[in-house]
Amino acid sequence: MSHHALAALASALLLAVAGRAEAQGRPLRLQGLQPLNFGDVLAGVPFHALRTDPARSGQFELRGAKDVDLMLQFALPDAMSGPGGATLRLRFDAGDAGYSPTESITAQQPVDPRSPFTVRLPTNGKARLFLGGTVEPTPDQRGGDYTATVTLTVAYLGV
Amino acid sequence: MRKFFLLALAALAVPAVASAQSASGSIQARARVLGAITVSPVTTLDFGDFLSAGATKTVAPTDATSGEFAVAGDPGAQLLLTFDFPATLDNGLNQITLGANTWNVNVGATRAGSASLIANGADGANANSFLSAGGSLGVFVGGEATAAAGLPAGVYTGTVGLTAAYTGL
Repeated sequence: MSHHALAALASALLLAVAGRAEAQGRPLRLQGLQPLNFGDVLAGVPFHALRTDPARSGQFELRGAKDVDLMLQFALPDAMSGPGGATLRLRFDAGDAGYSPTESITAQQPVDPRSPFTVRLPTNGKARLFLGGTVEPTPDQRGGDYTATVTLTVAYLGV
Repeated sequence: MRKFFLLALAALAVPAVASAQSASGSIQARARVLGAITVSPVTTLDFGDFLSAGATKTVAPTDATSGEFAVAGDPGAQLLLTFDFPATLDNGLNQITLGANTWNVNVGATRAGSASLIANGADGANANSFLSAGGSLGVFVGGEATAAAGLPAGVYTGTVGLTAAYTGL
């Protein structure tokens, strides 16, 4: 095989592979839309923010190729940080996350945010994730503002 | 030849890059813990001496002898203040009558600078008020007492109760 023929073969391989990657979809995009906002809570009184609460639920927007399977995983903190180094216990349970291929808060498929899970993007390549959770302030919890960061990671499956 | 072989290997490596395609996003989790509320008695509501039978004495919230509570909690938070007013001051079985709808309450940092919260209130009266930016509130209570004729001399006492709760604002 001549050098030119080998070069053509290599180029063909590159083009073929590049074409396959393109077919697998446009880039994945994940954007945090709304914080998980527990609002005002009382010392000693646990509070559960529902994933179906429009004002309190955390929300992510997901965009990618249509009709593809994705794997998602939350990185969930177990406490929030507050004034003077105080911490506020944070808990997530099995039904605290929801996936909506229609992006509607009223049409969620419950998922367990504590473990990786798979979803399929709809034909328009857009979906939304919702997150609830529970704060557990102690009776002597220090007053003030508490925050933590929740991260969601998504990857194409089977490419 | 070797160069093209490497090119081919590079091409085969592309799917691995594609399969690693991923994205991540973050949101904040937020909460505001309201500090515990404390209600502390500061001064007694003192009607003073009754020198004549049938006398009625009134103490205004701004008077030096008004009762005072110190309330503390989350800075700027709104509280619901609910009062438990006694009907009488007692000394054994003897009683001085307290006016049922004569309770007046002011709130503020000081007696002199306080503003009316409840006027002519009855037992169970309640109203909302805000803690200061420093998380404190002075509550000043006045009322009216009438000593009937024939009461024996002595000290007559009762208890004014105050309950404070966050309203969520």
